[in-house]
Amino acid sequence: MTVTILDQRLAELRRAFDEAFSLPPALPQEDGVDFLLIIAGGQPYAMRMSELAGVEVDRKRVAVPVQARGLLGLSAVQGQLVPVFDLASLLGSASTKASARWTALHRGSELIGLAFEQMQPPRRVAARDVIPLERAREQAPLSREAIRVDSRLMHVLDIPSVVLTIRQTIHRC
Amino acid sequence: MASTWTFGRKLALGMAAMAVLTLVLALVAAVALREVISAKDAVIAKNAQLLIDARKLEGFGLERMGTVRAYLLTGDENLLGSVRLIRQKYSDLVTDMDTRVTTAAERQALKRLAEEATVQFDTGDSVAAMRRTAADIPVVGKAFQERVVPISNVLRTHLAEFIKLEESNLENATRRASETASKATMTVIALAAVAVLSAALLAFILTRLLSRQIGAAVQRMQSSSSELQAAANQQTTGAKEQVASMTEISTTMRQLLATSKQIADSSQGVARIADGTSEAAQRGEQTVQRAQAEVATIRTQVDLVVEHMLDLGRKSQQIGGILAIINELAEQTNILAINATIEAAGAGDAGKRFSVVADEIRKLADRVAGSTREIHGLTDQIRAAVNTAVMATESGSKAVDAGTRQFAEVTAVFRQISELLRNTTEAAREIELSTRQQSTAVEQTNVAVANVAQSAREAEASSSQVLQTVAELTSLSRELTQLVQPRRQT
Repeated sequence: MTVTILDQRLAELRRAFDEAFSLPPALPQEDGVDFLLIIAGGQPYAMRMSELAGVEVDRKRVAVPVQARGLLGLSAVQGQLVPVFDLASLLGSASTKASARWTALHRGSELIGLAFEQMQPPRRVAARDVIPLERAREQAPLSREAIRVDSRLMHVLDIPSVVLTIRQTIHRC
Repeated sequence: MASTWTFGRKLALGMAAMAVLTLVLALVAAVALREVISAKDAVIAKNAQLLIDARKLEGFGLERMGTVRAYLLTGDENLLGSVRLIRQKYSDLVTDMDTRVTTAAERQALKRLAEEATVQFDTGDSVAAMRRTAADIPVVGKAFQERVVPISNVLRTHLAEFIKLEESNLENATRRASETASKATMTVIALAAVAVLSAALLAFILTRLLSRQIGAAVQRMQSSSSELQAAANQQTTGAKEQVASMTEISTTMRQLLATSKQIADSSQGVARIADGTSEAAQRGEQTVQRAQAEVATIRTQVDLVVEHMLDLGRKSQQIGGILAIINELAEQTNILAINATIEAAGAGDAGKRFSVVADEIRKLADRVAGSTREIHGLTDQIRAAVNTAVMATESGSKAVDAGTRQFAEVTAVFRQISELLRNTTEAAREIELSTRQQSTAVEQTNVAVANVAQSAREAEASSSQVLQTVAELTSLSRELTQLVQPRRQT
């Protein structure tokens, strides 16, 4: 990379930084739905941000002697002990225990963490672009709908279904 | 051994044998002649003398008889002295003859003659005494006739017998001497015959031996002549080839001379070039030494560059650490923005504007994170470039070290080249000198080759002459063979 390219890049960053303060604030979309885009078990998924309580990264997990499918351990989040499950294992893929550094928190009756490998910038999708998946339920039992991102169809994880699966797993144990 | 004797020795031996035979013959002849002479001398000195003395005795008797008669006739007293002198001579002669006679008969006869002569002489003296006493001459004559004459006749008779005896002895001695001479003559003749036969035999043997030896020698000489002729022919051919070779050698030597001169000139040129090259090598050595000093300076600068590069790398790492913190901050900001968005989503419509702000914060955090990633990439690139530069610089430093060592080696090589060039110059000069000496030697050799060629031509001529001589020798040997062994001549 030459000095000229670096100078151009620096000018672009300066301009973008300045424009961020000079442009008027963007208005919120009326019918938009916010999705968190992740990669779990090597596959891209989307999660409704309205179903999440937060996102953590690189939280320390303490293993517990319980034989539950996908349970990675317990993490301390916001002053609470939160069980963290491997999302890839719950989705039927190979375990990504070592690389699942991200944790999505779901607040139901109690706080549950879902660990995955990577996280992409959140995306707001128009409501009309959210596609129901009734027929494909057998292929993706934890997904009921999908969204189109960059002309690519991406499954939307049904977090309550995921939590239900976790509960069923725990009950079988 | 005789076969190895020379002709002269054999001829000398033959001549010596002949000389010995002649000497023996001469000795035998001398001995024989001496025997003959001795026999003759014995005859003359003994028998003939005795015969003569006998005749003298007879004469003395007659002379005494006549002298006595004369005294009787004349009465001259002087005659009596003659009578006594004759008697004395007679007596002395008898005594002398008695010493020379050899046989008993002679000695007996001589004794008888002496006795009868004594009687006769005494008788005559008595008759002469009668004459002195003045007796009558007739009486004295008669007494002489009666007393002396018979005795004298007897004496003469006995003397005649003695003479006959001596004549017989002389004849016998003469016959023996003749026999001795005949024997000596026969002996000499026999020895002469033997000498002649020996000479003939010796001549035959010598002739045979010499003929054989000379014949063999002539045969060998003929064989040698043939071989000599072949050798002369070969020598002639060789001489011709030698002349041709000498001509070629002379041409080659001239070419070699020209080449030697060219080599000498080239060596001189090489020496000049080597001198120039030596000077260039010395300048090169000085240049290399300067370059070595400059390389040492470069080495110092390179070390400084390496130090700066390492410092830059360390600074880049520090920047990376700061960027990591910034990135973490951006990531935490992003997480906070996402969580804010989640919280806004959970707040319903009231949280929509907050959601917009959170989204802006998240975008800013994303942009910061992207920028930090870019900066991190840039710092990585800088570190990589620094590492590459350090490695390259270290390689350059090693190369500089190697270059320094190589410069030292080049300096040593230049010195070695300079030394070698000096040696080359000396060698070239020695080559030039040697080549000039070689040229001189080649010129001398060329002259020698010309002389050899001339000698070869002369040898060719000599070979032709030798051929002619060999032909003459062959003809001569044939003639000699014909002379020695005419029957074997083919």
